[in-house]
Amino acid sequence: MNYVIFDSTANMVDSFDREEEARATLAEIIEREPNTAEDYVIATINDSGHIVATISGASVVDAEQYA
Amino acid sequence: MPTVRTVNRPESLSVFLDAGKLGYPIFRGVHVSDPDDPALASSFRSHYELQLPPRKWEKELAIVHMGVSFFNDAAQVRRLCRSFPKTVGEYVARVELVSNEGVNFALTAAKGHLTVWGDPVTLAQRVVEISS
Repeated sequence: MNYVIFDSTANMVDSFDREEEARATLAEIIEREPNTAEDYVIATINDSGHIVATISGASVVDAEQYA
Repeated sequence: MPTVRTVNRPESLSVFLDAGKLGYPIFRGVHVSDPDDPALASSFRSHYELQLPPRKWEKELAIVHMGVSFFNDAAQVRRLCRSFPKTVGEYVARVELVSNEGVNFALTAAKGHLTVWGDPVTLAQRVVEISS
């Protein structure tokens, strides 16, 4: 499984093998760029190339706040 | 059809110099519905061209900072567009690359994802269809 971060340009920012790393990286990016959570998404892509889940930047921030 | 395996943070990456040899259409989210809209080219700009500072992986790899993301499956782009229209775009552009236009590509990050390098106007001119 791959976890790919995209931003509002529809371009890849970063990519990871582990969801935890993708979430942590995106949380760090959003922390450095306040009020940009809505601009990011993590796409979970399986080994067949299908997007099987998406994670919004806002949900990453929420999870960080309640962690 | 290129079949190089893609993994995250590879030590090396195969860049295909002749985009015409890709052999299949590629897809990307865009923010306009008309292929003739002059604003379409703006949907094919890299972070570098948009003068966005490199973040994370982009600090290590200029090819990521200077590249434009595509998928080889419209359904994957459509899923992203429907979930995050503001982020990825409201529409899906089908692009058919040809040879000798200064466009290069690599298979990056995940299966089905490509990074493409090329002039945004040239890429926009290779849009054959935009769907919602």
